Amino acid sequence: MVRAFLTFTDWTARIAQTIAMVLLYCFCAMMLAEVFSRGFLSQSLAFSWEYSAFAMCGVFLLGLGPALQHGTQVRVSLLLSRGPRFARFVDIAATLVGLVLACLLLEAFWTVFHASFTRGLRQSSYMNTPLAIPQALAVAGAVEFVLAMAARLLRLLLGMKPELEREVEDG
Amino acid sequence: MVEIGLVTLLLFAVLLLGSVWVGLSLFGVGYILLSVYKPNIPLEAFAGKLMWQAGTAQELLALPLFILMSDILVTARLGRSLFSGLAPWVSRLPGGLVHVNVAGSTLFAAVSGSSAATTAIVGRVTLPELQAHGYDRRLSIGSLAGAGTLGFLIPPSIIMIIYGVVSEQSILRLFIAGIVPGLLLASLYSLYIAVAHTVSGGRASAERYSWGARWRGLIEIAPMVALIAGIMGALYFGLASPTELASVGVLGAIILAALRRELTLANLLKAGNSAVRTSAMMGLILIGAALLNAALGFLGLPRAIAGWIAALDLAPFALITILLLFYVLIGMFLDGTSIIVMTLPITLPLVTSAGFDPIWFGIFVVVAVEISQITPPVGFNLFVIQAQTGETIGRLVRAVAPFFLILVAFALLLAIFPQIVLWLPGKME
Repeated sequence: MVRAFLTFTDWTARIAQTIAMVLLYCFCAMMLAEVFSRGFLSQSLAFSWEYSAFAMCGVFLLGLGPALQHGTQVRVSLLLSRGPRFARFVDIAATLVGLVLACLLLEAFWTVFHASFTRGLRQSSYMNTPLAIPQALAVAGAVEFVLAMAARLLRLLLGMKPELEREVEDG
Repeated sequence: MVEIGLVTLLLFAVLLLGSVWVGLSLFGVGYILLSVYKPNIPLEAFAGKLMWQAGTAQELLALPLFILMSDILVTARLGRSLFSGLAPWVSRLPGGLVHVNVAGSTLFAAVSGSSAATTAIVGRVTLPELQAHGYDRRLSIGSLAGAGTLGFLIPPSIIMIIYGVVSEQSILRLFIAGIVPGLLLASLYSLYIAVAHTVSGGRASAERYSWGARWRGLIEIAPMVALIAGIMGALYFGLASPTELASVGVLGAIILAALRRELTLANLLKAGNSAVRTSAMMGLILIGAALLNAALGFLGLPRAIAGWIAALDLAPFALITILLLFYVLIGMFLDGTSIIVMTLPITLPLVTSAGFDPIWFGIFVVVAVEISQITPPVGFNLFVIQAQTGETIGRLVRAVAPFFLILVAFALLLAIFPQIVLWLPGKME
């Protein structure tokens, strides 16, 4: 059961990261299209800035879980270098607090999404985008973050490595 | 107010020292402060709306794009070209090939906004080469760690984007303001390398390069120089906003990778995934800070602290010296993004009321963040070099000490001569 949950969260993290990466390249393409359209066609693309900003928020939120899994999220590691047993205790406590805070983060994004969905709120712009659509991405990212934090806690309790090995940058 | 201040400090101490992730700590402190001291606010809706606005701020769009650009250049393996392109030109200087660390970092900083990426790219090639040529290891490592910090000062700079967004200053003007200090700092590093190498009895490189080798070297780095010229030109003449520039920069990086035959789907996926994770880390810090700063603003804490410090009636230079000391201390434990978002609501009003320009303060803070990159226990450039060399942090700290002192002296120099920062942005008008 626990192993199945860990495998499941590894997959959700991978999917979230892939979607975030697609969003990142997409909004880069949108900004490039805006530059060329303005430069060569003397016409601005009405959607480019707005959709890019939504995509960026998606990148931020959907990337939270994968960043945690890869050890990219930063923290003060002073106490984590004080011997393996103490470090494990501190790490478990920090992850538990992190899980609670991630749940509060999810609750906050869910509240905003729910309000937008039930009231049919739209972005006050030319595109008039229904806000629930981009906010659903943010909620999905926050859910993935909670899952990644829960998986991390389980791994620590089972004595497993909580993070993936970092890739060495080459040049 | 004293009680609120003490509770805030206590919460920070418990969460940050307890190894809770920085972005979540900022969010947590803001959330707890609002729930305790402003219980009438509908907290979930308020926090959600605030964080949604922070995460979709259009001024931030340049941030993930510059991170992506930097990661694409990392996969393009530019380090080898930097060494073979620059070594023939610096080998006869006192200090010889060690100058490649500074010149290479300066060049790579002009296409990358990240200090750690600059250190990683340049160091992976230069450190083994310098060791093979018999150069002093301490000087090689120290100069790499110091010069790597130029990634933040020479535009484009991720840290300047963060400062610009949080302080509501023009990112374009910040970028322009970083050029002269960046080049001056690189010159100071080179000067130190020449002096240290000569004093320690080092000799010029025995390797002789022909003029043919020099020109071939230039051709090797020509595409990168063209990308730099494009970025700098567009910045200076105001042809594109930072976000548009970043997207064109990504395209330039892809073309550069293609020219080097390193443009593969695997490399693009690798760069994209890495950029997503780094952007998410910074995004969490920014949305957490948005809630914290709103909470502190509601409670009036920044105003109270600013009033308290203003009552001390410090001379402007004394204020800047104290702030530098403060930034060096917190920089030992926090990364650049966290330092800026956590301190700016308090420090910026202080320095502007003391008569300093917010653009100048931006560059000053960037130098302070650069210092934090090479100070233990949390110094990202040290971690990068440790991963590359296997040296202990203690030995790295000894190697980097002269460059730390240069950075501190440079920050004070900027305070004495603010025109070093403000001259070029002034010319734009």
